[in-house]
Amino acid sequence: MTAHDTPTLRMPGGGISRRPLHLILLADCSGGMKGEKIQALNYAIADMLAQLAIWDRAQEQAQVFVRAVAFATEAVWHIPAPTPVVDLRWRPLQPVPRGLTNMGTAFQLVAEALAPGRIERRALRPALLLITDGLATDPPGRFEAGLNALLATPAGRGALRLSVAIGRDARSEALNRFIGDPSVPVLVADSTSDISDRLVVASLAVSRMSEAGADRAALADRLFGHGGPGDSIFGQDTII
Amino acid sequence: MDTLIVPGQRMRLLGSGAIVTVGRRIGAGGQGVVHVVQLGEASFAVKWFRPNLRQEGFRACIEALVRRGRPPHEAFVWPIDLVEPLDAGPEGFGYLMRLVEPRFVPIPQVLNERQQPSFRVLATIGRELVEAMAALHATGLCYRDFSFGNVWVDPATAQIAVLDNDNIGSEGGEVFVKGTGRFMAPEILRDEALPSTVTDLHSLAVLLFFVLVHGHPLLGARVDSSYTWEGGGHLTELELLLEHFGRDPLFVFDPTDAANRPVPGDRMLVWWELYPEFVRQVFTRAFTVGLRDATLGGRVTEGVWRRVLLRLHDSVWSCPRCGAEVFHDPDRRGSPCWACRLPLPVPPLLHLPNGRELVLGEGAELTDHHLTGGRGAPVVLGRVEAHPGRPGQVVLRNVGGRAWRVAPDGETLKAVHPGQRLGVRAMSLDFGPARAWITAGDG
Repeated sequence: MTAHDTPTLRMPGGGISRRPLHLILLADCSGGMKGEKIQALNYAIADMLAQLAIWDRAQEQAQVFVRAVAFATEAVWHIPAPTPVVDLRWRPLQPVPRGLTNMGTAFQLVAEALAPGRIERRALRPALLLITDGLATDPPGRFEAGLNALLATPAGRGALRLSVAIGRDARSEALNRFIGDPSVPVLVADSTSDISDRLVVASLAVSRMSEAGADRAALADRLFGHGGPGDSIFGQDTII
Repeated sequence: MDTLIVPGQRMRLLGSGAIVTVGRRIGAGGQGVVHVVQLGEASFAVKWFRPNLRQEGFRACIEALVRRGRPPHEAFVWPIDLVEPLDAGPEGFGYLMRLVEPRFVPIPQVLNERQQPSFRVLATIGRELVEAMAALHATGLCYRDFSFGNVWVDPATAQIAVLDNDNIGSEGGEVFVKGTGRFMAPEILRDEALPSTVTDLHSLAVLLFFVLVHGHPLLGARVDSSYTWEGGGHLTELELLLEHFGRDPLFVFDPTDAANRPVPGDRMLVWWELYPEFVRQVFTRAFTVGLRDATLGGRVTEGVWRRVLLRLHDSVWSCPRCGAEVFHDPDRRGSPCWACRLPLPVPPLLHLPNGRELVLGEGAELTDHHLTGGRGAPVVLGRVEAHPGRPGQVVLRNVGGRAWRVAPDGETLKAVHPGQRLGVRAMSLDFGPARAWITAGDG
């Protein structure tokens, strides 16, 4: 065997030491999502993750780990293990025929994942992204119970919670309660072709989370306060 | 009135009067936008600022940079001319600069690649950063916002591009930026000082530490233990920044206080160990004395970094057992290879004028800088290659234009003409401008 046959480690590798940044997607897979909507959503998520992966590699602060919950009448983990965004290959979501839009059960799952001891102490505040095309259809009290469970965890309470409404009608008070911050608007995708743009805004918000001084109000002002989504790509790391 | 420029608009360069046409947008932020512009056949970039309260002072600072003409170092993407709309256009102002080629990428992208650059490339990237900062500081200017966001690199050539030059100014001048959190000097975070040459030196040390050790010099276990999800949840990142980088910073490898060592599993623990002692000492100074003594005497200056990084570049070779890239450390003989853990032998060394030593490992290059000093682009005179017939041994090929006279121990005087190869063994050499000798090592 020659030296050429033996793969040797020439450099230590491992990249830069970075803090984990957990992104959890909560994706509506109710019956109403079938057809173009779910296809557009799958495309938009794959595109967003690709852009996040580029960002992930290009900076020295945060390493993005992705999980996903698919919810309809019930909620299930679509990606259960925190997966580095650079390694992730998005497996398309499927709508549940006649499935409802029960958000509380999705919040409950995420609350368990963010319970004390389940998330690294050094992790940055997680980011939760709720994407839905309709109003919550939870049985009475279930939405509140799920949301309360989520907000009862310090990591859930401290998380950047964003929401994309597919269609103007999907913008609801329930989504505002999930976001819990009047300065952060629901991102409305007026048509399926807008979903991708809205997710880009959301992913920019996620990427800005790792900034020192990235308090939510400042973040909201930067991201949503003026200009379009591209406005926050440039010069954001600077403290003026 | 709209405050931004849009594709198709025409603008005039204030200095030359030339007309440019605005192309696509390539960047945007709170301050403004960056567009490609066409000047005849040539592409440039324009950074356009939204109107703001301190616009006049800011504009005057950029005008001063334009008046200086050439940048102090080619790495700087310097303001070339101010621009104004040709017709009724947006308020605000902008400046023309060169378009950064796509070969430049953010430095972390290079460090995060699975196929990482070699130690020689890392040392060269570090030295390029140092040379650019040295040239700037030598002209009496300071950068003020040195961070990974503003410095990009071409991984193939290790050349760097320093962006966002609008924050550059003379010390004591009006300051429009304080820096980027984790690269800022403690005294700025504590609100005791404004950005200056001295604070640039702290930012430079942090960047160099990232490039070589792959982590932040102040982010260790003590910082880690201050993160908590209990009670009210995390402190804000701003509070963490002020505490651990401003009020009470502690180097992760502080020799007298181990409270902030990298957490187990952190890659910094691997990288730090494999550098020679002379590199670790200078980082230790930068992040112990340099944290507390915010003066040119307390901080590590570019001249010191230059010497250290040149020496580091000259120390690279490969473990003769496993082939991993390693450094020769004269202060720690017999230290283990980071990959196979076997003790490293002493490599063959070329002893040069001024006490410099070049490890004769495969790929090493002897340049005119080794023989006579100098700072410009080096001219390669000799290159170390694998010995064609003796595995594990090397030859030094004369790739310059002048013959060398060599006297191997116990042999007669020989000439090594351009293109010829010299088997590396103990000998003295006369390169013409300088003399040197080789020790064979014990590998």
